[in-house]
Amino acid sequence: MNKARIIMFFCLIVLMPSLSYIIKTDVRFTNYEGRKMAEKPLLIEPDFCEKFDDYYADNSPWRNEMVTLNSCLSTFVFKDSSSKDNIKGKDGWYFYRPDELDEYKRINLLSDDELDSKVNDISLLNSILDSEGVELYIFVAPDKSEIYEDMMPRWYKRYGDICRAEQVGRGLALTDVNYVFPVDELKKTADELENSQLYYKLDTHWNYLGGYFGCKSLLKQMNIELPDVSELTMKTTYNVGSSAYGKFDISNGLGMAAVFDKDISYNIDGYNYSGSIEYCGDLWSNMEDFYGTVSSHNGDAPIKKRLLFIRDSFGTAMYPMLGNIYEDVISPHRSNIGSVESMLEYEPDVIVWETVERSLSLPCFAINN
Amino acid sequence: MNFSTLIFIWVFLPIVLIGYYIIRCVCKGNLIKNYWLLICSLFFYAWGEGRYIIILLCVIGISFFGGRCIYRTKKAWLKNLVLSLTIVVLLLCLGYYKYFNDIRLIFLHESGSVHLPIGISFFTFQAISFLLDVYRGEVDISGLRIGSYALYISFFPQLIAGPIIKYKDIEEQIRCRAENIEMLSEGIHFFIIGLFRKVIIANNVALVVDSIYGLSDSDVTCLFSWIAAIFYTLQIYFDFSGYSLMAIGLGKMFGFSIVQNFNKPYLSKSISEFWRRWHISLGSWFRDYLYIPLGGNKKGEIRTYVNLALVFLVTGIWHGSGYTFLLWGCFYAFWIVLERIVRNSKKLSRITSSIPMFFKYMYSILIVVFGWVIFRAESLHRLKIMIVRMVMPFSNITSHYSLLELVNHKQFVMLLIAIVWIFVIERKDIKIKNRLLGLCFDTGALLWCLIALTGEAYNPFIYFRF
Repeated sequence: MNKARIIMFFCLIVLMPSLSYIIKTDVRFTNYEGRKMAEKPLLIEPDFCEKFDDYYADNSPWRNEMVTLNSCLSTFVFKDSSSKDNIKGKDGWYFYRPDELDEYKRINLLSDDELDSKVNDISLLNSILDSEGVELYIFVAPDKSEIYEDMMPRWYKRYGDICRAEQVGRGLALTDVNYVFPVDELKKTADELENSQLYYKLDTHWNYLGGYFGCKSLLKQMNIELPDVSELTMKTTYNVGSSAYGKFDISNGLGMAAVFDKDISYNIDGYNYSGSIEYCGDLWSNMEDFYGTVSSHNGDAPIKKRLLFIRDSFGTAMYPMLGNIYEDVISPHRSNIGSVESMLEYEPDVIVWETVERSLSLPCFAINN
Repeated sequence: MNFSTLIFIWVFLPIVLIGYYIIRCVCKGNLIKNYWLLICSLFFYAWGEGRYIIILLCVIGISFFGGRCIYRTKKAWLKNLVLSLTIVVLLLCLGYYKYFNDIRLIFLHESGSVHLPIGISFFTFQAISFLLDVYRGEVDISGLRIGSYALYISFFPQLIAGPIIKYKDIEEQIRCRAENIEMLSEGIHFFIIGLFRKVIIANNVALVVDSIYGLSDSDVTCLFSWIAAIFYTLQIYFDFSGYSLMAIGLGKMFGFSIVQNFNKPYLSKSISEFWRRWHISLGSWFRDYLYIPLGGNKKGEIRTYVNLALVFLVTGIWHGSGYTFLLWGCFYAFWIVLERIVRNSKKLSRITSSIPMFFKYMYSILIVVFGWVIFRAESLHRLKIMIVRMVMPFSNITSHYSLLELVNHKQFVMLLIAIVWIFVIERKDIKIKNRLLGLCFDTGALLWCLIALTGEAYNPFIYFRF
């Protein structure tokens, strides 16, 4: 009898998922992975078998549920991060591992030659732009682990005093390049606002409050003051993440998009996507716009200048603030700008090159010109 | 396709099983069932290897017709000629696919692009064992059809990772076998346990090994090198024995009893004993078809040592084409010969027999762990680093990594489970006697494996907004 039971359970487990999938033909999976899932190949295609394997792996029965279950096992039973690319910190904080961890540990500093090369190149770019009457600002958005280092697990240690971004900052301090790396300001703000958070717990990025204070530091360099937090009217929102790919990137990476589906952000009056500003493009929901170029026009802006805001994903949370300050903001993704000409064709008055600390992708192409 | 994939468990296996048992109900005898298994096995291989199924078919054809020729001819010189030719052709084929790239790299300093067909070492050795058994008159192949022989070589449970089955051990079962509920349920149980060993234990401990082997030389400390060695010792055992258990389980589902391939190898008291318990089918193959034909231990002490050394050298090369595999073979050749020398010496064997059992276990496991370090190293340089770190604790005491970065809770739990499994459950042959508990364990284990396999297929583009 028991042998019959084990056969029965085995058959149930190996047959039911496929049968249920066949029966329930309108099943569509929510794509939490931020990539194009494999499609069913045609029989006549070369490498049909390999493509079918990929297709089945991406479309296996009850995939999302099983992935979530697997991740929940790691997270709640074993108290681990369910992804090797993410670090489980304290109090529900998660951090990105690749690149960011090396930054945190201070083990990826530039060699003297590398540093000199970058400093020279950026200085040259600055000179060229200056001769065209364009101001250049290099802005480095700090990694989450820099600001919330107390939330990192205690066994991740630092092996140096400065990070790469600070190293570059010190190199550029001897030039007239405007370089902004607001790690101290953000740390101070995070400490002052202990009941608020500047970064998402479940995403690698800062939220709109973090973007606001990043912007504040940037604009301070331009002698433009944004209000302090005490002067702000803001509403806490429970963000459900980007709608383009569903949820938050760390949450997606953990396979916990269905469980970790809310995080805190803020709607700051006067510095959000609203009002009289004409926005062209949607950074938050549209991937094409994100990797392309968006723009805004604000007839009521205090600064009647054209800003070229060259960004990566951290720029998303800065963009509405800049749109409130500058009359015209044109914001291409960094991947679209590879030469001085491509910058100047937008006829900017001011250029901000924004990069996140962990990638530290600096505009080192002036020498090629 | 391999056993620990969703497409195998949820698509291929159900289709094969359902088809097989429908045929069993509808048709008498084993002929149609065997053809069904043959078609499915060839499909299984072709799915993963595509056009390289031609290699498998060629091996089947060459060995079958070669064997038939050897069986039918009365002339000794012709028997010898056909045997030699067929074995040479098979070994050349194996040698080309397995070693060409490395030979090209060594002599021409150019990397080769010859694809290694999966399982070629296994099915080639099975074919050679068939030829030699026919030559020795140990099998009667008078009524053997090519279909049945093709099934013997290509039977999917043991096709790509063994056990290496001798024709004489399975001949009767191909011709007539009776499936029953007991075998089917036992097969399912073995399959589940094997899957659990591989997917839950081996795959998790492998992550630790890969992390440590991924560190730069300056970040590997004594502690990390020992952790990598121990974890790899567990990984390779649970991975390989898990796969073998799955193969045995799958065989049972179709009424076949396949030989056991592992017999508590980490509970050995000597290296000689270890090799009688580890990858048993390979060990017995080399014993029957290399060691004994070379003379075994019948040609004096020195010749015995030479034969043993040769067998282990070839064992090393069989596993892979790099220098580290050759070194691995030499490593075990040394210990096997040393143990034989000690055994042959009355004085030394008196001393060793008085050594407490615990120290014998420790000696064996230590040698085995070091052996696996040689086996795992991707290069001689890396091997040197790992060994130096292991034996000289102060060669590097600093690292940019801490232990808890490299080993998480789950992996630590797997380490404990693996150790308990080997040194308690296997040692004492503990089995779950309560039927309901056994059923719950099997069901839970299978579900956990399926969940883990789906999780492994999850591949998000983590930072799409870079």
